[in-house]
Amino acid sequence: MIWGYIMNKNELLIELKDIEKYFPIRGGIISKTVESVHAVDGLNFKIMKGETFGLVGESGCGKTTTGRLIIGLEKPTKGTIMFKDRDLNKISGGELRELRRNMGAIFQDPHLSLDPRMRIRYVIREPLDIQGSANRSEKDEYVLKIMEKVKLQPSYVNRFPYELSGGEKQRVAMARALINNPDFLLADEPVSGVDVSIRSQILNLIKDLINEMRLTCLFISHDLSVIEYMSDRIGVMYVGKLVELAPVETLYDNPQHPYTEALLSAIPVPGERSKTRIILKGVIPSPINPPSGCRFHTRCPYTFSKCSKDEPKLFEVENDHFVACHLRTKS
Amino acid sequence: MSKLLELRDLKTHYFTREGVVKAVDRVSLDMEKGENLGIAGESGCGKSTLGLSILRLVRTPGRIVGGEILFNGEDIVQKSDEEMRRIRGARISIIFQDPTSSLNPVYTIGDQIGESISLHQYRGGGGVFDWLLGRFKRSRAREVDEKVEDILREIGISDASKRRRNYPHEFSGGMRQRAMIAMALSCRPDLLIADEPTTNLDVTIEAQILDLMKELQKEFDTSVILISHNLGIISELCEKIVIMYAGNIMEFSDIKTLFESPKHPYTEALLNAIPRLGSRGKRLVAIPGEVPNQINPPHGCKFHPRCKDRIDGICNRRSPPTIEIEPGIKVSCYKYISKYELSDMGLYNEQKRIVD
Repeated sequence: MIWGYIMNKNELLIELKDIEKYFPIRGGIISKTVESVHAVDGLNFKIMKGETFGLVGESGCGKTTTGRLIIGLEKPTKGTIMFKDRDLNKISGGELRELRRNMGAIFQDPHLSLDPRMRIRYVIREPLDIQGSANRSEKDEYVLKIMEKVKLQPSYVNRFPYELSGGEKQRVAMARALINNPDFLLADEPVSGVDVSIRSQILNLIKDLINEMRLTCLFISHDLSVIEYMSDRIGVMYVGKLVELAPVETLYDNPQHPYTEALLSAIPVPGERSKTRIILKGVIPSPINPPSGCRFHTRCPYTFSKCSKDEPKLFEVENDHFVACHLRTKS
Repeated sequence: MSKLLELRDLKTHYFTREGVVKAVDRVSLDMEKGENLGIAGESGCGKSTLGLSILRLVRTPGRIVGGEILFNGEDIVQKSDEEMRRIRGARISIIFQDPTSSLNPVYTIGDQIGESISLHQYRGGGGVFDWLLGRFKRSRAREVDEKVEDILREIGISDASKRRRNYPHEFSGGMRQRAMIAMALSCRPDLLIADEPTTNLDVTIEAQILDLMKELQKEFDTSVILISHNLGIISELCEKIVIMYAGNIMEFSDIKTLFESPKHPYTEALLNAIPRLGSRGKRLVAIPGEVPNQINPPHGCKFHPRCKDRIDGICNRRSPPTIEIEPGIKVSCYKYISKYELSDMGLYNEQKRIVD
């Protein structure tokens, strides 16, 4: 974050070009594809070196799929993803593994993402074993070093995951993600599974490590207050599409898309009873059969005839602030 | 105002193989009629067990081991199972976090809402036979169906006569939670316990549900106990709030005072640790340490190992008493007890200073 301003912030790390990801739904005797889930549908954005890019949206909007696409856990149906000027689709095997050294990831549920039969030492060390260049004593040294960074006691190396609390497990997951000294960290809902009073410890730790290790981060969350705390730039997703993209100050002070507006006003603020909440009608549409035109038109309070016919494109309303809404493109 | 609910030294413990978990430990609180109370705390602090205890729904190995629950002046702990069945659903109802697992998948939504109406509003002598008889009488069945449709319309489900015949899987998550609320409120209970009613829902759907609850609560004149870890939701609906930690009540206050000037160090720390809107650029103040183990909790005040205001030699010796420091504001913390009182308790020691 801060180091991004010192360095050249215009250096590109990741670029997504027209990314589409469909998951087939199979049926019938020969299990042919009957329908598909449009998890991500035409995504375009860039992540610059040194920034923390926040991705926010409700369940099923495709934010997790986007994260998985970027670290190469899924292959896009269409489009290209460039990571450090290399096309993730075109490389495989050794080359991909080499590139993956630059990526670390932590996920929502630390109870599920750690192998219950591995001692912490091996959990953290595994990425080193795979990338393999260090010898055993060097590896042990690295493990202890990274454990110190994530503030885990060295005595934990011989424990099993079940002996740790949720917050500690998330620290182990951090250590594992960062042991190869990556450039990029994917944090997919890292605090949704931990207790409220532990949450701020983990968030502060991630923030500190981003600064210390000069990481670029894609931070995914459904919680707008967490996203605000962590990110420099934010993309708001709705049913597989980006509806708004802006730096954090702009997005929160001057939201332009009706969906962003509604999301922000829907958050209950501790200590006050809000009077002017925008309450959206209806439900989030299914990504199997997304609405025509603008996907938000079924719930939008300002919808008009054009919205159900034409699909709005991302449009730069002001410097660095992109919105996909017909209301904004007209003027 | 008359008291709707009074808890006196309520203790609910779970007797597990590893030891006794004091999930609710000497909890006392009052709730006035027409008032909404929020119970906040982290996971494992006993807030859900407290809710279940009020309905006597705690399952083995859990048991209410002591204390009183006075509902409209009557002690619920002493009631027979038959009497409890008549209270549940009719006078106190509950909704849970996960509507998918609390709805029966093989009955239609209409059947399930209708069940509580026919059970509680039409029951004759009280036997199952009477209920069945009532169910099969055409006119009564039609009357129940009409009531169900009214309720469905009320909770904002359009096309009620068709939707009544839907099964739970045909409803979305938000609609299922609406159906649960409808079911819980169908008999116009005096008290509704809502245990994390919106935790699994998306923000925009959560706003809808909260709005609905507010509306119905006003209309039916039902008091709500809202159990949640989210202080924002509680402030949206409730006037009073209880902060729980490891089975104890730390602070009881009204919403406004709690957020303006939190009294208990745990409340204060909690408020500083939550990311809220407008938090960019600032740094969250994390609470050090971990939530304590419930089988072997710390001695004395359960928060003292993580507390910034702890007084060694006092806080770790005996659990603090609850005192009313301002009208309507109760705190369990030695910070608010003068040294004279402490020396009466045999806790004050001249070397350790206390700020009054």
